[in-house]
Amino acid sequence: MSELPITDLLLSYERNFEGIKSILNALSHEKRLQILLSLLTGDKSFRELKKETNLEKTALAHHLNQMIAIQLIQKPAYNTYSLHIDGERFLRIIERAFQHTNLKLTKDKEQMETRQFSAKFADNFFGFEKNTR
Amino acid sequence: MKDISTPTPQIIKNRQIKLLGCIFFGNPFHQAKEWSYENEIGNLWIRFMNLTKQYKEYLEKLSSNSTLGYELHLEPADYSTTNQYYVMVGIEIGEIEEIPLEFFTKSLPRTDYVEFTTQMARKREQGAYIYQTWMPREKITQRYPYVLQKYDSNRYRGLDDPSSEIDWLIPVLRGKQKSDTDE
Repeated sequence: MSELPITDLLLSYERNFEGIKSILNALSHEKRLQILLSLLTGDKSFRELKKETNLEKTALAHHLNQMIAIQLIQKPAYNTYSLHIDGERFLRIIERAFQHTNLKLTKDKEQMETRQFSAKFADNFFGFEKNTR
Repeated sequence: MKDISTPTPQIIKNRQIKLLGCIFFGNPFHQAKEWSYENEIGNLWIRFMNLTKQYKEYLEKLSSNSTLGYELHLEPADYSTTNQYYVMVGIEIGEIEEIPLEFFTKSLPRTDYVEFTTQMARKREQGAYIYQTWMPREKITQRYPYVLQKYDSNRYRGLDDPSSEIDWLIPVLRGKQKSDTDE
């Protein structure tokens, strides 16, 4: 897929600013993201989502309605919620983009490198191993 | 000489250290034991000092303090089975630029450090006190598997002088503080 030239990218954001903002707003809430990720595994009832998210009825209904309005999720039958194709698309695009971010690389590097000396190594200069025996 | 029978550590916050010098990888003690001029670290210092004479003016331009020498000990993940590790000796520099071919540069991670001073005669017990007693008591943990020794020519008078002082820098995480990249 070829990348949009910057001028076209800016133009697209300008034209679609409110729509993009509403999607980002929906995805930026921990509980709404949790709901979307839960629906990745299949359709859920209101009660199941309430249990998973630990939300009050009104709060859960508010989040669900917000995401139905922008078609991230849908309600194909009474008391059944499922992920809209657009919801799954956004989850995939964001995950894929995150894999290539400096934030991800920095976190991975930090995880790989954060550790203390082994006692054997510290013993080269601190007399560490002898003192722990 | 100040009294450092019990070292008083200092926290150095958010510091990035850049070094220029010579490197060694392997077991530095296969020919001679620790704290000896004849081991590979001693040889590395000799190599570095000879190169500094050759590139004196160049290094004076790069280094902010010519009285300080650094020795980096970095433990790789497989040290326990190989007994081999990285040692770098050199000086601290401001910016990493094009350098003479036989030198290497190392940009260490930006981090907090615990800095303390030991005397040559008591370095092992003083170091062990900081590492095993003082740091756990202060809820400070080592962040990365390396340590820096800092040699100040005004206070370090050689391995054979028991009053010689060596400064140590250990990269650390303090208290419940997480790394910069954690949420």
